[in-house]
Amino acid sequence: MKATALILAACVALLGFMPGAHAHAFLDHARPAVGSTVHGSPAEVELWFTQELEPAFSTVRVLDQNGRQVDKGDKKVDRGDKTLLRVSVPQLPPGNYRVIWRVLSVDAHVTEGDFTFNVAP
Amino acid sequence: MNELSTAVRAFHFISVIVLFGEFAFLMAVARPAFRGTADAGRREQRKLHRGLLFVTGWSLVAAVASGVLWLVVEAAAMSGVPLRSALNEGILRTVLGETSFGRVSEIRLGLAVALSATLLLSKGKTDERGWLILGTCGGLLAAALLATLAWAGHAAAERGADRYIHLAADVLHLVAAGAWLGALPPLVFLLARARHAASRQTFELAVRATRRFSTLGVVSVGGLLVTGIVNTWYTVASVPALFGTQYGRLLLLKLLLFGVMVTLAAMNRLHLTPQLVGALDNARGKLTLPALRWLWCNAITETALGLVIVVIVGALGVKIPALHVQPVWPFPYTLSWEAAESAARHTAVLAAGAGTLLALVLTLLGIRARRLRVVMVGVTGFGGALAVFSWLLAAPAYPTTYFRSPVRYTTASIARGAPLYAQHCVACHGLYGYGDGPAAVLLPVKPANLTEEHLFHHGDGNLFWWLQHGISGTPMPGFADQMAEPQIWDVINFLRAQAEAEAAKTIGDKVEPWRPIVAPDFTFQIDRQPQESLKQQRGRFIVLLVLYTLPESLARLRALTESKQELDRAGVRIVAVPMNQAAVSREANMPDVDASIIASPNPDLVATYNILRRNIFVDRLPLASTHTEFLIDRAGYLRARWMFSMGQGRDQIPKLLGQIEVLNHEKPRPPAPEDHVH
Repeated sequence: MKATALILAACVALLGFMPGAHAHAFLDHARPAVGSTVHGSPAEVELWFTQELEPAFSTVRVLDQNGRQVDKGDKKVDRGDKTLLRVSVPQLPPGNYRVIWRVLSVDAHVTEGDFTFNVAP
Repeated sequence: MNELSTAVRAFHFISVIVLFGEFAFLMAVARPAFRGTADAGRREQRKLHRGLLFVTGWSLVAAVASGVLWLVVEAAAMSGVPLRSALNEGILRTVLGETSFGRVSEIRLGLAVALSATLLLSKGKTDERGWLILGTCGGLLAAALLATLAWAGHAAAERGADRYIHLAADVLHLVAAGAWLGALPPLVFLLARARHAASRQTFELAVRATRRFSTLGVVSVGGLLVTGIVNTWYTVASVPALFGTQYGRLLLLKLLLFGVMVTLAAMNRLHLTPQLVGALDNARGKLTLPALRWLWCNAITETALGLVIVVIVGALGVKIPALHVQPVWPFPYTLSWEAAESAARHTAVLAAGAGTLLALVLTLLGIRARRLRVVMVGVTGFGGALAVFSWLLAAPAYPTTYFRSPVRYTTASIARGAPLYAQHCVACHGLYGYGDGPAAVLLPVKPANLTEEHLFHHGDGNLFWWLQHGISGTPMPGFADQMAEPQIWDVINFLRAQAEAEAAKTIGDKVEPWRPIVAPDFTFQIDRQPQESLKQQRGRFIVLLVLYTLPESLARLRALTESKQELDRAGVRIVAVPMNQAAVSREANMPDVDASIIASPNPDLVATYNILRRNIFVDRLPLASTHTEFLIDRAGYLRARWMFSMGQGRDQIPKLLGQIEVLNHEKPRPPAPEDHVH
């Protein structure tokens, strides 16, 4: 019976599984959306991640098409939703902007990435 | 940096496991085994205790030192500075005070201090009661030191119920592993002494200890199996991820080594220990049995394997869990139910599957009844049926077969894919994907009809490979040097939209029993408000997407405005996007039209939903710009479509409301599938 139990356990272990949850925080969606065009300057740039973040080591910057940092530097992880990282921006003139993020998830792993959005008049 | 992190973690895990193992051995093996002994037994016991204290003390020192080093390495990784700069007080204080990992480290350091205090206080108290207290208190503290490692791992990032389940499984896994692996070194020590001992009593003690250890091992292995399955569920979760990622392959190696350890342990329990017990009952005088030597050898091998496993665990902790990496399939074939379906083989597959199970049952019965011939027939049958089963299900596979698209199914992506299709694919596959392009006549193998539903049963990964490398044996070329990877994913999204458009040709003004036509996601902005997306409306609102032209649509837009309250009550959001130049220029300056339904111009959206305007009456693009409305349900599917030309639709609101009622009375459906991987 012990042999049976072990073999059955091994079979269960080898079958496919249901998808599980995540570790390492990756970008889930953003506002302005990745690659989108927004009419009129947004007040802030918001990034939602797949994991909760550690505020102490999570940063985001917004650069214009000349590589100059244009955000107000007040990046903050939302207190109610720790997967949301936001930074406010001043009135942005029309053009292409790049958002560069580097975050630490609560399981102590660093991930980084970037995306662009366009501001239309 | 990763190698250093792995090494530091592994060293820390090993020291904590050895530390806990000493206590586990003391309480679960040594004390029961030594109960009621005298003289020589007592001498052995004192030797063992001295050894225990020595190892415990030093492993605690190693644990604290490696723990501190781990903190510094993590601080460097978190803050992105080189290792030497991480020795900065500000960074360390931030890590300790403001990160989850830092707080766990503080707690663990506290536990280590408490444990050192316990050890120091017990010095000199070598009576029975003293050892009991030391064993219990020290054991609990050491167990806590080991168990809190779960909070420094991947389980800590889960949320909700998953968090508790994964953490609980991790804690039990750590304690079970610690008890088994950590108790091996003292066992080896005891067996070595028994081999060189002069007395029968020492031998007896060793045998008793081995039996106790064996029970501990069985409980541990059972716990490790169950908790291991739960953990694999959370970090790997699929067979492609197991074979196609570094994490998965490391895990397979760990499982293999674990299997070897369990086999050795089984050999010890079922074969060697009974031999020793038997010899003990029969022999006189000095005992130098090969069985004892084998036991000792096995225990050393198991210790070595355990060491390698802990190093692998150190490496696994640093890697991205397989769930979040695109799996690169390493074999030229895979097992696929779709392959069998398309070759009409499912009856054969089911028969082979049934045969495999029957053969397995036969084997197990044979083992139970101890009939070797039955077992051999069962095993051969199992092997044969499994081979047939696999052969029937085999389908060609490529490294990218199990990739999922990193680009979501959005109007932006489809609008990028459309010109790429026009440039590279129309010549053979035709304007609408039917496979009737001008070049098709010359080809020996006709281009595929890309609007057939079964094309997408192949999966995004296979389509990606064929687009990159072509299909050997056919005129389909590869486009890897003409299109970058994101562009190929855009083309795949376009192909999907094209195929859905074909299926959507029969969608009319009535909500029919549901069809899985996904409305491509899009962003919209009403009146300069923050950007919103179609996906955000899921589960909340029915969306009426209106592509309007001016001046033709004015009457209809006014009618919608008049009925807006009713539509709001029915849970409908109206998103009206301008389609022709006149509408784009005038934007929000329309009298009697509610500004909260008018969205900013969005060329990608118009281009994409234009494809979905094809219907059985007006099939060929380009379609004239006619006011079109799409009704999208709360799960994100396209359910109905209206086209009005020249001022029609003014009095058609009741029909619209009727169809919305139908949607509101439907059973809620699961949302359209999540279609991209992070």
